Amino acid sequence: MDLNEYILSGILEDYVMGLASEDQIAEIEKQAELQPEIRNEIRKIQESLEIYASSFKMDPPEGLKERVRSDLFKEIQGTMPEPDLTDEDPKTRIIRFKYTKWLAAASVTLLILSSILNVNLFLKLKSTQKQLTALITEKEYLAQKMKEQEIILTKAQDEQNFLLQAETRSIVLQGLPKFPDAQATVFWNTNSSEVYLTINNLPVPESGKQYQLWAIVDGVPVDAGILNETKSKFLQKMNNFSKAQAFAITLERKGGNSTPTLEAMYVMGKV
Amino acid sequence: MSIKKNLTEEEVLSLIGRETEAGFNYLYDHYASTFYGIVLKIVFSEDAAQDVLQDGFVKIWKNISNYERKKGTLFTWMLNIIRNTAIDYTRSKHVRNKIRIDDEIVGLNNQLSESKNFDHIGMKEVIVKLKEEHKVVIEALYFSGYTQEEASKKLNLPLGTLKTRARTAIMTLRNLLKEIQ
Repeated sequence: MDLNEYILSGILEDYVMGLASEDQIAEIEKQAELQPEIRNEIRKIQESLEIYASSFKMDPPEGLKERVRSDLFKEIQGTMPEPDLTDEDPKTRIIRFKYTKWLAAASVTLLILSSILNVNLFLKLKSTQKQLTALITEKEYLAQKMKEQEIILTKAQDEQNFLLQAETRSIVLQGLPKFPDAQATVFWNTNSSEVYLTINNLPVPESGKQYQLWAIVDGVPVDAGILNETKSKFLQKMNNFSKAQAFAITLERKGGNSTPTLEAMYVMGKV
Repeated sequence: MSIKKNLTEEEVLSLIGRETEAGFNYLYDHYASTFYGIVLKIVFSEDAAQDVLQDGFVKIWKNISNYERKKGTLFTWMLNIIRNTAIDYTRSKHVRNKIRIDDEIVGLNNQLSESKNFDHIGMKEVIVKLKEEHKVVIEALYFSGYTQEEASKKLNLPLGTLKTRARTAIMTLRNLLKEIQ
């Protein structure tokens, strides 16, 4: 093909405009290398477009030149890139991600564990408070019991002291033929004149009635006191007597009588 | 714009090749506004256009040794880099949904009358004299970087017609430029 023909064929315009095929491009570049006229023609086409391009001119913002400059000279000179935390290598990022993930999972687990522990502790506290209240009540009860026991002990010691005294005599009151199983015991200290009574066996009195102890002094029954309880652990203190020959118990109306009802005499014992 | 007088291609290459501030200043002062105008036509956003221009300049600076004079003008080589950076940007996932619409070609023409730096004497007359059908073909193929298939589809022209129009457009442009030179 003639050189002029080649130039006028429009193939070079195609080439510059990106309309040439791969084969055409290879051929044109080969020709351009060989023939300065073709090379020149290509440049002339490009230059015309370059002039056209200048019609698009738009001033970029003023800061851009500085931005590009710093970017450019950093790129060129900065052979050693500055350590950039955002630009860590993927391995580190994965490890960090794993670490963060693990940390998140761990904190959630801890939160759950802590919540469980809190509920647990709260319940334990409630239960402990309950136990404490129970213990305080128990302690108060035991203290009360102890006080009672102390009183009982004191009383028992007093009774023991009384009974162990040489002057204290025990008089067993036996059941009369009408009440053969009935029995009671009188402890009488002839020195202090104190009289104590304990019921060994007496039927529970019918309502409105009470047992009454009598001391027989010189053949005359004298009121020695009313029995408030028929079943007491302790000796019951009765009226004092410095002199008596016998003791007897009769069932009387509530509050007692001034004279005994002989038909209702249950037990009797001679000193 | 360009404070210094135009240098020859060899002088420019020598300046840039030495990686000097002077080289950068010439490069930026001489081409930034043209490239910025072209990039704006492709990415439609001033922020994006600035990012593209920055990336493009860095690529030009780093690859200047790859430029082969026999393959064309330095400007065309640089425009290719800038244009591809802009096209890559529009194809990156965060702007994939913002489709390059046909309006951009219309927008490009509107841009001409708005241009602040119409410093080329007689250029306006040349562009005005150029037929609309020729302008859209040049702008789609050369400045927006469409492939011939894309341009054919966008401009609704058969490939053959597209080729014919492109050739005629360049010949007309060259003839018009000869008139004013």
